[in-house]
Amino acid sequence: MLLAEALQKEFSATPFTAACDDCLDFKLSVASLLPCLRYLRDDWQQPYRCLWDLTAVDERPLGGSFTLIYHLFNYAVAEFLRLRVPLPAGQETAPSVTALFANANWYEREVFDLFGLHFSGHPDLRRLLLPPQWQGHPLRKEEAIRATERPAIVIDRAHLQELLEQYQRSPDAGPLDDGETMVLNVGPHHPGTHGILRYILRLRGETIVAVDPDIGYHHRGVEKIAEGHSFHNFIPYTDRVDYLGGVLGEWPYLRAVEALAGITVPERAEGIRTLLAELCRISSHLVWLGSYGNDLGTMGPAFYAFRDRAWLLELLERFTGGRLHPQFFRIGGVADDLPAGWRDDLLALLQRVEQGLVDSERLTVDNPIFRARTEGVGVVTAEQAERWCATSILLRSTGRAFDLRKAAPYGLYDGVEFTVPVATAGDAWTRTWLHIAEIRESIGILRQLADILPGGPTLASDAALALMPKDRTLLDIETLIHHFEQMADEFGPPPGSALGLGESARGLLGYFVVSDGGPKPYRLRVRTGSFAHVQMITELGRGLSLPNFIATIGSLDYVLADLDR
Amino acid sequence: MSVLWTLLGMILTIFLLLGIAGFLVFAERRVLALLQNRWGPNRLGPLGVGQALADALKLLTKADFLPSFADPWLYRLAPLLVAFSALAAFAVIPLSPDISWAGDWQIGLLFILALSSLHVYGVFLGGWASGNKFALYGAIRAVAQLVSYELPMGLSLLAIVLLSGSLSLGGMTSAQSLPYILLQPLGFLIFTIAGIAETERLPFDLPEAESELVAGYHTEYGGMPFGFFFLGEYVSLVLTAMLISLLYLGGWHGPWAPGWLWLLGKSALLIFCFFWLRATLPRPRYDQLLHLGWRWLLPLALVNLMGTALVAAGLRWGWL
Repeated sequence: MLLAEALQKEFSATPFTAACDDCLDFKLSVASLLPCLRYLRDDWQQPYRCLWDLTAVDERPLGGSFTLIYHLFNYAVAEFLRLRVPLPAGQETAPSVTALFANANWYEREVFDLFGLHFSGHPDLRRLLLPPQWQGHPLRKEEAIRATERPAIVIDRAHLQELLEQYQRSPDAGPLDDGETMVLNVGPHHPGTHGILRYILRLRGETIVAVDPDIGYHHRGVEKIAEGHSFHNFIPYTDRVDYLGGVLGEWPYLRAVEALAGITVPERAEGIRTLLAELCRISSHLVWLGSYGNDLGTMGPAFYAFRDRAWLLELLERFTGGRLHPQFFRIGGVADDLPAGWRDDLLALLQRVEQGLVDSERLTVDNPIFRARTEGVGVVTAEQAERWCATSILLRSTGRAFDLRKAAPYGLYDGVEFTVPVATAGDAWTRTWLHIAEIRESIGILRQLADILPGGPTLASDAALALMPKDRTLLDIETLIHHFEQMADEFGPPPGSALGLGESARGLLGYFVVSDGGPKPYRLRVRTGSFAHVQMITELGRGLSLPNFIATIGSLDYVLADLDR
Repeated sequence: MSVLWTLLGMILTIFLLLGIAGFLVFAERRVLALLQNRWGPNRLGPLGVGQALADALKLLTKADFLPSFADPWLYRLAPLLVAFSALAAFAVIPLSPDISWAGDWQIGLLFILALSSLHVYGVFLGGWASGNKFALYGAIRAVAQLVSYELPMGLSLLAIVLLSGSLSLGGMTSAQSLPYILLQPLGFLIFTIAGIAETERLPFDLPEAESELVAGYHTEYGGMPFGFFFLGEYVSLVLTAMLISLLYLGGWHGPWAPGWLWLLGKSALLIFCFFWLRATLPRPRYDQLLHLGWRWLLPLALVNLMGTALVAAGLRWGWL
């Protein structure tokens, strides 16, 4: 392999073979990190221009040290490259890569926040997700998982004012009041931010000169929670990372775990997964469409979109028992087969949703005022999208037809015909149109799935980590014992690490799971689209007026829980 | 004695108007729900009409709140100004030729325009005295919007004054042997758009623009002070609908039914249309709104006035 040769020769990187996915994987010394990244970005024949993710693993209990994990992404060939950079024992500082990749800014702040590692040369290294007065760095292994095992958080009433003053920030290095401009907090409670999120703006008149998103209000620490749960028990949490996405969040996690455990999912289970994922995608897009209308001051689309979504949720409930959070996927397959009569119900629903979509379409993309508000607003260029590593609709609105379902098909996506809607204008109107076009494509996929869904088992019950079929546990003792051991958290997948990917509604969603052979994940990293896209606002927001700012942030289609995890 | 009766009558009118405003809030919620395929408030009383009372009671019983950073006098004065300007305008609105307080007052139209300017003060002071940045932005927008739309509104009214030769609302309505909407279709359109803009309702609710400015100029208001802004908005809505009916739709003229019923029916139809607009249209951007006002409505209103004047002069001196 050519890249491997180049990296070995130039930077003495060693191929890392213990990973369980098919991602290119190298171990690199911290000294050659910057030259190597620069080489990959600028000089390699197929340059890796995107820093897709940056995170760390605390390997001190395993006899190692902190290891930084860089995931680079190449849109052109849809290929990931993983660099593992172990810090020497005792060292807690690494060089910052913000000079090479602008979007490393937030990722490094997150690692600083959660691991306490420093990055030399970072322009603004401070906590990102946790409050400024927080003590400790929760993803270090010595930190307790449960809140009850930590000392209670006590707010020092006597110094409350000083505590609050830490929140009085300006979005740039400038003073809060310079006599010319005004610092305005859009949020944490603001109808336009779609949840608890604070944009600190500096305004000159109604024009924004600087933006600093203050995030973390929804931070629940799912990455730490994962370390305290068995692989199976963590599945419900993945629904809630992107609470509009439903099973779209479960899938990448399970792909990672199944790669770790070497499980092949039966065809029918893959089919049911694809089917549910597309239903959830439609549901998520409809919510966005409705709430985006609300951002622009029209109430209508919300009710039409939610009407269609209510039918859809009813169907999801009949199929899975859950509505927003189906939590229906299991390691090795799905929890149950589809109920009798599912095909007719599904086709009838698709008919209704398709007809209802016309209403939403007329109220949004066809409405002249809507067009006037969104055309040419919030324009993202192809270059920007690449620099900030945008994915999903945000990327496809800039002219690049990258969709993981096409680029690296999983589930049954290679068995169905569909196109990836793509446009070049990169503005908010285009993104609205793309959402509607994608709903149409999903409807097409679902119609085909209704015909081609293969038969067979829905769970790979021969695999060690997969659940035992419930109807057999009371018939033979081996199955019962296996079931019991599994439920008692006796074993996990073999040691290793794997990246599970999925095309979610919010962006390219990735779960990077590290196993030490135990029943619980050793480390679990969630990389979400919302995080990458909201960071772009620091650049996109500059120069916008307040109404355009709201129209722009709405069009990015982020979900707060997905942003903060 | 008659002064006492007049006073009592006026108080009664005010309560009647407040009642109508409260009812309209409920009616709007039901109509919007109907247009957006949902139910709306349908639980309290027949068709849910008790909701109007419950809402009023809720507003009345809320704590009287004064933000520590607000200017106390102006903060309290602003909502009263808004409610007053909307209510006082009804003094010159005739229900029929013989039901009105001052329908024949010779400067009735000027009085209404003056009150609508007073309304701007209420809105601006409310936003400014709140000491809140969002409220300030809302107030600035409100002033720009209301001032911009007052001009085309006044100009389109002038054309009617030319036609009817009167400034009293009663006189202008009586002069309509043919509803002025037929003679002044452009003026009707301009006045309607400007009228909706003056009432700050969607799609022209830029001063409130909840997704951008939280609640605009009344962000810091709650309880009854907010209630006054709210009532002001709905009373102005009734006022605008009645003005359009009187000036363009022939007012009380109509067969088979008493005049006041015709007027109320026409106004109700217009109010329904305003609700409908709100259910369907997004909010334009601030600059787009001003653009519409200055670059389209104002020149069109001028052209309309000139045309009307030429035709009127022509008829008078026999050129046509």
